[in-house]
Amino acid sequence: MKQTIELKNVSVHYYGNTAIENISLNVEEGNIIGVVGPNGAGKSTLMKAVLGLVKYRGSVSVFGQKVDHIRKNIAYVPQRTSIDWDFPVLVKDVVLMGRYVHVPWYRNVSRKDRERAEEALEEVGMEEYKNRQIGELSGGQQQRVFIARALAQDTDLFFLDEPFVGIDVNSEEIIVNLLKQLRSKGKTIFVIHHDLSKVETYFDQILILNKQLIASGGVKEVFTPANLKQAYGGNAAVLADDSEMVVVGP
Amino acid sequence: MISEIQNFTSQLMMYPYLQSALLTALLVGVICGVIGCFIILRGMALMGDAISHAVLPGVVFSYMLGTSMFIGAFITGVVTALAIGFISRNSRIKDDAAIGIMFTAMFALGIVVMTSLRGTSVDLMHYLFGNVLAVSSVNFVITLIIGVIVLVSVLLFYRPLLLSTFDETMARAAGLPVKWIHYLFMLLLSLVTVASLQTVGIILVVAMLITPGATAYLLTDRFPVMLVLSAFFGALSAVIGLFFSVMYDVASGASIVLAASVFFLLAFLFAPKQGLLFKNLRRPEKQSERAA
Repeated sequence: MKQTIELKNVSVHYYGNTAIENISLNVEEGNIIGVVGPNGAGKSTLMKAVLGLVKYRGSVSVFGQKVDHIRKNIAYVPQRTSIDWDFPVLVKDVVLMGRYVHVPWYRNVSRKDRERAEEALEEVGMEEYKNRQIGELSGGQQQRVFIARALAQDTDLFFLDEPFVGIDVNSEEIIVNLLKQLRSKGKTIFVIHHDLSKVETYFDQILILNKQLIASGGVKEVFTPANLKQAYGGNAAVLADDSEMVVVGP
Repeated sequence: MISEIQNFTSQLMMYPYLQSALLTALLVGVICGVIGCFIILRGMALMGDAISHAVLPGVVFSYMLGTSMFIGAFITGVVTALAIGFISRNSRIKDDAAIGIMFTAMFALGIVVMTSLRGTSVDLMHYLFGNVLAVSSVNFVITLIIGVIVLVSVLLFYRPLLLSTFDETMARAAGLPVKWIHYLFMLLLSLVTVASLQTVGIILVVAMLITPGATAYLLTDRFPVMLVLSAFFGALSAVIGLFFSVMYDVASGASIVLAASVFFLLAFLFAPKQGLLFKNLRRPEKQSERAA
């Protein structure tokens, strides 16, 4: 198995507060990896560090290279709350944005790009909504559109930030099946995941995080009460510097 | 009304200064409308206000030195934009507060220097409140050049601008130079502001940046259409404003802005999808849908 991501002693500090500390890990390709941990555990920060979007100490390599060299091979699906749903774009416009990455600035989007976008939209079962404004969709449909955008990027590595929050059962099933198909094609998928239900059905591997890496590895070995207790249980003091104070038990 | 329109067009045929005023106003309407769409969607309305106010000291200094006010205005506009970014990056002061500090400071500097000069206030007043009828042919050419630069840049960098406006994190993850796109945008904003000074004036430029774009935003769900509609409303407001200014001898900048505001009010009330009227008409229907 090839390594896709390798982190060595990665730490991130925001204005003197530690977001993540001393994280080292290896991720092999062809896996769906869940990143779990309580609020303020640094899940998003870890993802941003891997993507090179925050300053960090330590070293990160993706496919054996610096992330800047392989950005075209990474798709990112944002948290739904970070999107302006009133933005004047239609569903098909959003999916086409996935192709922008591959089109040089002096050239126009080609018919092939449009076809690829359309295909991706069919894969998530949203082709009949292609002319809707994105704010008119349900949460699950919105999530599927952004997954379609990531598919249209044709990448080997995917990062999804909380994709299962506030979506319907049907959308959830479609997304999970798609992710498993991608995995069987050798793609690597990172998923930030907040609640602990269904962890075992969604993921092959998990990283349990609470500023430090509590545990990582196959779901069966790592998803244990002891590890979860260490990450979530009774450590409200750790969470207290975050704006929210949520303790989610297993 | 019809006789007044005839009167206006015959005057237009007769006086070249009126022709260049009309063309300048049209051009300003178009480029303000285009840049304004990005301003609205990037949530930078305050920044637009800031840049326009901050060019005042540049205008005044240019006046004192006898150079073209475009140069001074452009320099102070860019310096202010950079200073705002510098303050918010290097202190705990947030962006909006940094904007508030910088633009009022620059505007105050402009006012102080302006009031220290004797006998020049009338000319400088033109820049504060706008007087499109005083646009010289040189200024028209400069406005034309700025217009071409702005429109060509938006066309060339349409996709990076759109993507970084819609989903900045994805744009950064994909390797777009989001920071440079921001600087390019600030540069275009400064150029548009400078081009609009004589037409609508420093104090009201922000209206031309926001109002036509906001009107278009209420009428469409597609960004390219919003750009075109916004440019259209900007240009139309410019013509109507100029008409009232010439016919009834009122301030040109303010009447252009009022025309734009009327269009916004109409869209706010009667837009097919977003308008207040039809939204209210639809509401009971939606509730019964939900019940079913």
